[in-house]
Amino acid sequence: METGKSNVNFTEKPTLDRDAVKDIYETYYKKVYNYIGYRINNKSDIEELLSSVFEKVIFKYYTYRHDVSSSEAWIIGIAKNTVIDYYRAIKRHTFVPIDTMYELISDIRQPEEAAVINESNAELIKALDVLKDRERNVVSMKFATDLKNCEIAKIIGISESNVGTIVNRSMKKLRKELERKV
Amino acid sequence: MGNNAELNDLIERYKKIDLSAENENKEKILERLLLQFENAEDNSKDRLITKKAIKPIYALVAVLSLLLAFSAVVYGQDAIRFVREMFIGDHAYFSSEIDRGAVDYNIPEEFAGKVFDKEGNQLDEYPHDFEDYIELYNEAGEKIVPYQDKSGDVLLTEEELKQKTQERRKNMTTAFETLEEAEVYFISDEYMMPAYLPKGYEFARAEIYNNDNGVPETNTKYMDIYYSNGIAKIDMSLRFMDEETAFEFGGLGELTELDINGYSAVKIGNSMLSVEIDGIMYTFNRNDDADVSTEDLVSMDEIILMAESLTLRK
Repeated sequence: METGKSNVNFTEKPTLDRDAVKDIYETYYKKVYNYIGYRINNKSDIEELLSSVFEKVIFKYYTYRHDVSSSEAWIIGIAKNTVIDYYRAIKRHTFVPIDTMYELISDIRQPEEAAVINESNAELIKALDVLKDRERNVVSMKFATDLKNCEIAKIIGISESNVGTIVNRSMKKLRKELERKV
Repeated sequence: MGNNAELNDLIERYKKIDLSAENENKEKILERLLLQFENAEDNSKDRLITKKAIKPIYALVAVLSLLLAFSAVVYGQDAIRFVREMFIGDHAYFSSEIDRGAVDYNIPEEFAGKVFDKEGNQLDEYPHDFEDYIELYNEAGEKIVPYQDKSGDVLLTEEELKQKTQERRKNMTTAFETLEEAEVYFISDEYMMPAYLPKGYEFARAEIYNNDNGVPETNTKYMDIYYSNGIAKIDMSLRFMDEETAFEFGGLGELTELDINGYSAVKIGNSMLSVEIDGIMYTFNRNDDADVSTEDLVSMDEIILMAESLTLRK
């Protein structure tokens, strides 16, 4: 199972077993991978961050509050924070400023990427480079998940109308970029 | 086709892309996850961040610590071993590694003949012997940094690098001249500040990370305080620790366990010290800026004194 809802009961404190872990992973793998993949270009980093997200989900599932957010929104929220932490850790622990690293990570087409995306989608992925980080974050959630604008707004901490505005603006930018390359 | 229909069509095209489809490691990641799950002990700290062969941030920091572009260094999956690992508080995991054997020290072809050491000797490969990071120079004796942009690998002087990143950095945080202005954004009222500052140092500014609207994030779990003596800086970052801000740090620096007023602390290499007190991680960094020589930096002993002097702000 790769889409739809997990069979794990997120409405109470469940006792996770091996099957439940597998179920959560299978259910949300694609969405989490694609969300991170839209934010970070390096394949090996995507995998490691993906792994980190699921560790947090599984070992901290008992902190999930179903009355606050959907399970998908909770998990994508963790993914968002994991990506943020990734950048922050770089800033705190490296000699090179985070902005430089951000460019290294986010704006550059890594060699590994050739293996991540197939040729027909390459232009679409490459076009994402024209977006600012906030725009890329919003559309990454839009593209990779089934979250509604109100859920995306809640995760990011902006208004629902702002999400719509950002998506619209981003799509125009992407369309322009894609047309420019034709 | 209408404008909105075109945009919706484009959204659908993106939605159909599945970056995960070509990932061959899906099952391996799951197996590792299951292994970690089964090995985890109830109510153990190890449940939060489990040990594995290589960490995402770990590998990245290790690479970046070498100041090499991503393409310049390759770590094998099995090449890194932890020499030490420890938890500070309930949400932070630190590790250091010893085996650098798999690092590729070769200087890329495009840099050939352009990289020198401090003495002006042209380098054929990156130096193996370094402390926190490798210092590289161009023929004119200026410090340089390998950098990768869309045009490929380039070497930038530190000044060029600084300029290149300055604008972007400006937008990431909002700086406040007083702590009072910044602290209203911080999630906790009960935080500490050092009563002791090394001679000549004083509060320079406080920074709050901006949210996606470009304004300071309210109820933020992060706040950075900068002290300066006019030449060098000390950065003290506050991080409200919970499952959301849990982190793991890995790097090349040696980890030394310390006791700061009865709280576990870790000294990382010769530049950082982290201590968690009452749910807030205080991380001191004396090496935040690249343009200050080592001689001008405050000593780690002074950093420890600062940490020991932490007292409640209110």
